[in-house]
Amino acid sequence: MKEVKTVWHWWTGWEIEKFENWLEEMEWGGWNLSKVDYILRFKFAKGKSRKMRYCVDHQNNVENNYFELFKEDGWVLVDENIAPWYIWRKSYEYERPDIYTDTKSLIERNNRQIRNVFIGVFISLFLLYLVFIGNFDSTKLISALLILSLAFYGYLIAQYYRYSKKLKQNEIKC
Amino acid sequence: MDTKKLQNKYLPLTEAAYYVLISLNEPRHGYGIMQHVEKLTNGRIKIGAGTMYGNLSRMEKEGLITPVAEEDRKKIYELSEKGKIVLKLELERLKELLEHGKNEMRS
Repeated sequence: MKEVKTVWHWWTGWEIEKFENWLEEMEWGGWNLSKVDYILRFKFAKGKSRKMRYCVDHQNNVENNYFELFKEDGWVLVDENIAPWYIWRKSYEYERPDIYTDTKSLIERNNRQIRNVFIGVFISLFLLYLVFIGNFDSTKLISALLILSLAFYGYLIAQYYRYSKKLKQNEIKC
Repeated sequence: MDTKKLQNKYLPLTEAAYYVLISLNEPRHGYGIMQHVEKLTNGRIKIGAGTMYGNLSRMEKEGLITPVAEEDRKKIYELSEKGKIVLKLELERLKELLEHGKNEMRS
């Protein structure tokens, strides 16, 4: 029987490199990633120590040619069920491969995430509006939860903008 | 669209965008472009798959390139008329840059 372990690991869209490095270190230590559930639960199987680059992508709508392009470049998709997130990996020996080779594309990836948070903001505002025009019994609780969600989205957006700023400061051009 | 508008909107091109556009003077798919650019620049420029996909999607949306066929889930693109104009303007800009540099450094 292969030794397996399940790990819950918290990661965020504005510290993707840290998350990628964590997966790479696990592989280096002989823990090969086999499955990802609920975005945060990782199943590893004990195997060989591998030098494996992990790259995490965020895409809202992808076409078939997206997968084909990455495959042709030697990337393997770890799991398909955590869209809009895509975890790609590729083994390497010397030069560490990357899916994004310029800052502009990294900022675009960040902007796609920010856009999704804004959708959440609009949904919350819309629900809040419904609560105010309706006369629900639990109005106070619902409003409080919605306002709390808005504060959370605000936090996310602030973090994403900070990340974009950081990316611009260490600009890489292809 | 007039020249001024195109220049303001698209120029200067990023290095990746520039090489994608010149590669699409003949029909190619994403990975084909990556290989072509690497060969052309002797390995100096390697465009990552994510950067390539982003550039192709954006340029298709902007109408600089057009998909001409789809083979085995690969999309094959070519320069559009608008793309050709933008590339021509960029080449003129680069030529001017180069001439100015050469002239100034000579004296």
